[in-house]
Amino acid sequence: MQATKDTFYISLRDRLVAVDPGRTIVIDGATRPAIVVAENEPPGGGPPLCDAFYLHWGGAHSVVPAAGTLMEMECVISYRTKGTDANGNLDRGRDLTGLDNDVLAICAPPRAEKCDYSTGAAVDLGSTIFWAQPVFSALVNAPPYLGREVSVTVFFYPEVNQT
Amino acid sequence: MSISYAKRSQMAPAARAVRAYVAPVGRPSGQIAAFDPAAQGQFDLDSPPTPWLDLGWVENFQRTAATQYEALRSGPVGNITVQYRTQPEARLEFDLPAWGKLQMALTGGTQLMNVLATLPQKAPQGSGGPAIPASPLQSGSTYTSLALTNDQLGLFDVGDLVAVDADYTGQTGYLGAGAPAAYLASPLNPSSNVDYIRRVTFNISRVAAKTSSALTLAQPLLAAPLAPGMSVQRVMAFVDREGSSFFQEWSGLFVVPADSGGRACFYYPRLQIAAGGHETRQDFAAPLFSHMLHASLHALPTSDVNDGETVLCYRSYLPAQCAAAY
Repeated sequence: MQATKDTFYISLRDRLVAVDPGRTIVIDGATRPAIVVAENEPPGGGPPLCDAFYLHWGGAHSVVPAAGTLMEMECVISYRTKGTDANGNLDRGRDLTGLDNDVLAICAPPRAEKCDYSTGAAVDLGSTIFWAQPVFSALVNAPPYLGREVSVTVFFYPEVNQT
Repeated sequence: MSISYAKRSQMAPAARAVRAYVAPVGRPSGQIAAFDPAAQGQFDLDSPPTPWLDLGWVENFQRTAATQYEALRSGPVGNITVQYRTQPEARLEFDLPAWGKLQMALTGGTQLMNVLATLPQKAPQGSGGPAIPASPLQSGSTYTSLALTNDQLGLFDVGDLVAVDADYTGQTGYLGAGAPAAYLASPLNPSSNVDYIRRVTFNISRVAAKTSSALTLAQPLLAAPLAPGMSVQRVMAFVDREGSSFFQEWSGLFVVPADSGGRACFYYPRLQIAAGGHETRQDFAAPLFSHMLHASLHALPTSDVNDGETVLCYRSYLPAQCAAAY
């Protein structure tokens, strides 16, 4: 399952760099694409950054328990913005839509070659992960922020008992 | 973690939709567009190999084998001694969410006419009245750019649909550049039907831009290179007619690209209409509904050059990278 999580994250990260290279964040002094796996961050980390995507992994189960090994796992992508001070924060809605557009862009195409990243290098595992169309939640208005959660069901073959 | 090249998990395709392509069948020669899975099987779905034309994604794809299975029986209780097949027959049904010239032609099965822009004050006709005279193509025209004289350029605007083909001069037989679009058993009056070939041709596109001397087309014309003497006319709509006698014939290719890897391809060398003229309604947010073109097609036989066997359809599967072979 770790390979699935890593593959999904790295696929979306690389696509974000391509479709919106200016969307970056600074964490611990390092500039990086504005996409983060929440469970990989320090437990005592601060509140989520604005204008960044946070991946939260949820439950997983077999798609057809009696046949095959295909599994599905839920991923929630959350993000929020407060617009820009220069515009009096009146552009919160437009900024949120920009984030929405980026999610749609990085989720397509809805598949990726699954790789094992545990050694630090990408090792092809000979299968794919693929996912359903993202489902956008209602807008969450928590002044001064506007945010949203997007659910994506990711399908994969577990790395154990793969044959 | 070492990679396994015999994964059973990779033998079960998980796909979202079926993509459809057609290619014209040469008539009366019977020349059929080939599809070789080895050479062409992994083509980019958005850029099919020549001469295949993209129809888009289809819904409710359903194949039906209708070949008869008979048996020879013998002995006192009539045991089956041997089986054999007769009357090879296969059908194919699907729905096309996208409407267009090719889509309507395939599902309507008969002449799919281009309703040409008409002259004002003329009597209306079901398949289009007397048309605005055609504009002759000038030298330098290509399948993506139509060179016209200055006065003729003004007759067209960006966004216009256009049909490009020869004047009708009394021919009989199959007509239309790029793909047989109609069949005339007896000649029409050329003086009153000079636009007939452009009324049926598949050589159409939409004007994407205008230069000082040419129309730039959004999609390439089917027939390349353009023949001398061709002209262009504006198209306002497409129309087919229930009751027509002509049968369209196309080669069909249907691809099921699996997200899990692997790809299934269904290649029908010859397809003709089995029942035409109906649509599938699919409600999705009342009162909105999608109105899909329903295709009901008959597969006609061909002969495989490798062994002479009769073929209605080739089903090929390109396994996923690490799928077990069996």
